[in-house]
Amino acid sequence: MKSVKNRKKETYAFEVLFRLQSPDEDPATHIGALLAAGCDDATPGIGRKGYLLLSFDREAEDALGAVCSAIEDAQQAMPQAQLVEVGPDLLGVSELAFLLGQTRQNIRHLMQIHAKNLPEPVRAGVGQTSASVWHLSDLLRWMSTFRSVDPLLLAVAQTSKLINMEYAAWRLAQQMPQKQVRKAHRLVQKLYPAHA
Amino acid sequence: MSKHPNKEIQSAIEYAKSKAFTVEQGGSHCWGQMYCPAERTHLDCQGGAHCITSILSTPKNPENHAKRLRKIVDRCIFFGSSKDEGNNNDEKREK
Repeated sequence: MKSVKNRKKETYAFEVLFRLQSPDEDPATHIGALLAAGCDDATPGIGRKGYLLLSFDREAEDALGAVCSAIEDAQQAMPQAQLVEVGPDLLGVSELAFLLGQTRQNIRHLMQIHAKNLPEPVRAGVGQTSASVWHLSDLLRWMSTFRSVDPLLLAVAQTSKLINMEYAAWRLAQQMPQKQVRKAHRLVQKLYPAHA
Repeated sequence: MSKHPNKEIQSAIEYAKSKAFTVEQGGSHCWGQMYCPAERTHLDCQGGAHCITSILSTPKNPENHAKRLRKIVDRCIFFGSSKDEGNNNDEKREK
């Protein structure tokens, strides 16, 4: 079968949060370098001291390509900045509602009537759904069983989750003795073998 | 203040102003900045990440940039147009 050349490009919308070298650093000083490094498809946001958020709308053949190239470009422009997280990934009911143009009440109602396959939150809020936090990709996969979901949104959600988890695993491995990391890895593989 | 050279971005700027955002022109490498109406950084609002948003002079795709600016304004928990019925007192603040 012939491989598909010139795959159609889509615009992927996602966010990359960086922590700057010093909390007193002015994030605006990086804008020139970011633009020069090809981040003119990002909208910079400043708020919390010492952090810079880049909201990208990047054209690429797939979400992973879009997100990885964005992180690489931004990191090149700001070598001293540290990646914090990629989004959209972790979110609660309110943010999900906003993302989908729905009300919170709507989303909560859906969670009640489709409770059976509702994914586990990453962190369950005390009492009810209001404070719970989920991976967006888990929620979108659940939603896709009863309504149509934007495939581009699902793609960036999955990619964000993947990169965040890889990054977290890497950071953890720096903190813990290799032996322990390997042992934990073996345990998980033993208990939950990978699908064929 | 002069208008942004791109019509769509200028329209987004006007939208932001209509939602109580302050827009200032100038700054290095940008056309200007848009300031959220809240008085201080609020972590529960977009992670406190868009209190100040840079408006680019020549973004790669002006239409996308304009859409982004509008999205940021709409997500603003103080004066944005979040769709919600009922209990909002933990999110909205009276001016």
